[in-house]
Amino acid sequence: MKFKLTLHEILKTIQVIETKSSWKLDELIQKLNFSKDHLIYILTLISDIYTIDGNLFFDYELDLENNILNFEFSEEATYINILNDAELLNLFILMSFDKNYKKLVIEDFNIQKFYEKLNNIFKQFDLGNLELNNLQNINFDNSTYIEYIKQGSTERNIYNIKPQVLKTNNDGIILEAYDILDKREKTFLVNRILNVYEKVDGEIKYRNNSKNFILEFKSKNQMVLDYLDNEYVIKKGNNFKFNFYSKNNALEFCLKFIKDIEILSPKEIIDEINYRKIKLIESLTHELN
Amino acid sequence: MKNVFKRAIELISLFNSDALVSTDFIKDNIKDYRSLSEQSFRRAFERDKSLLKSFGINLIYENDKWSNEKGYSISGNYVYKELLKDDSIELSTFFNTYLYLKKLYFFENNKFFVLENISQLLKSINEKRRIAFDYHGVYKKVKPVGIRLFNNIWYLAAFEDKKLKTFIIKNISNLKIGNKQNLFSQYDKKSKFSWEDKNTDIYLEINLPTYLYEINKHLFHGGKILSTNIQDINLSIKTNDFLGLYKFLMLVSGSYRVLNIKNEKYFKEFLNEI
Repeated sequence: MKFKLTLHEILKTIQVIETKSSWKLDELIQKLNFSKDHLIYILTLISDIYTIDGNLFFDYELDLENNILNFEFSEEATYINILNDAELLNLFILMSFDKNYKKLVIEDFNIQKFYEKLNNIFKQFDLGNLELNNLQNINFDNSTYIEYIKQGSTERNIYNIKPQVLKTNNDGIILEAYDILDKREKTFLVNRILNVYEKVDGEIKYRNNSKNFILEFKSKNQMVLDYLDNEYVIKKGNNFKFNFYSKNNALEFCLKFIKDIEILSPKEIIDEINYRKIKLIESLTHELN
Repeated sequence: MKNVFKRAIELISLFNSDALVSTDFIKDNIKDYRSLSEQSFRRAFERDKSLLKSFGINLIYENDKWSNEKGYSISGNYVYKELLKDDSIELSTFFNTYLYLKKLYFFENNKFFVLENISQLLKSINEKRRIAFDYHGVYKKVKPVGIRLFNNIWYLAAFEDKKLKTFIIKNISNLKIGNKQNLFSQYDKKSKFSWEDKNTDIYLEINLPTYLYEINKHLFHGGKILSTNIQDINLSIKTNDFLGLYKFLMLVSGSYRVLNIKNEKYFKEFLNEI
């Protein structure tokens, strides 16, 4: 049987096991959250590694009668550590801002101690205006409904989705999910999710009214190109073309980099930005009356 | 993939002390590398380094001109090393707590905010060491004092020639940490960033739909809710983050109403320039 493994799973297994030399099989399975076959597969892989002295990095023996695993590990195995700084910083951020984690910090003594230690180490970190309000409402076990506003838009829409994984891109935390109605994978910016519902009244209508939108612009700022997926940017000197998912996406991009790009075409987006700017200046002058 | 994982573990286990590990030592002691030509070894090693990096483990080449030693060191576990020094911590409890907390969400690669050079920056700030790096092609030597996350971008506050400056961490490359600890005194206050030094704040009170504020509020700083209901919100804004405010007002265009405004001169100047 083949398993899809990650390095993290392997490192985690090593670090959990090395806390004691003998484990009840069920206890270890529960602790690691793997199936028995998955665990045995990882153990077989690890026990095939040798140290530079030619010793086994890690060895194990399964006592079938009592369902007990006995381990012997080399000194090198004790250097394995998955508590890396990047992960701990992310946990610290969640514990500082996420409702569920914050509750745990108050309620659980060990979690409180864990947070205090991290807080002391990351004391010179300022997380400013970060908000993770919508994260805790996302249910990864079932399909769910989200009320969402697309980038560059002010219009609210309901999506029926099956959440898959949280990631980050240049815009922030994104939720990758399967759109049940549209039958394809989509990404949603977490800070643009207004509400999460288990059920909604009435039927959701299929909507795919966005058209691709080609924007031509000039820029000398590498950050602008880093923001876009470089593979799909058509370059001609300092002039670039990029095919956005919709006009709203292009508009959001233009406003985000307003100081770093010169928009060349299409005219409708230049006009839209100019119109909004005139309205903004007017609002600062006249609306007080 | 199985062999790649095995090699990654073999690589980590070579770094069992603080001594630097030479490229030749790595090649000689990893079975899969030994039979490879120099070029193939380099390629395989770079791939394995990238895999480890994606899990927060960095192999960094140290080439200090003041030292005879050259080679790789492992970085990425500054916090763990600090915890090991702390007698008040029961490491197995700490680790179990970590495993428990990790189960709550499904994050790709187990993290969502990526901060480049995190271990070196953390170490240099906490141990008050000087750092040097390339920034937009210019070599900088600074005393780091703090880090801030704003609008999904990490910033470093650091003294350069006694002047506090702000650097975008993503644009920092070839970062090196100085050998000496406690080079400067503790900077107690949360670091002031360059945009906070000015005294040109606009004061604005606006009314807009609550949901539009909620999804766009991260674009600027200095907003304060005056009153709110389900439908709309009254907001006071005191800021000199003009670019952020501009983006915010442009994106909610047509949906807000200005209730009060003071000291708008500098913001209007900014609008004329943009």
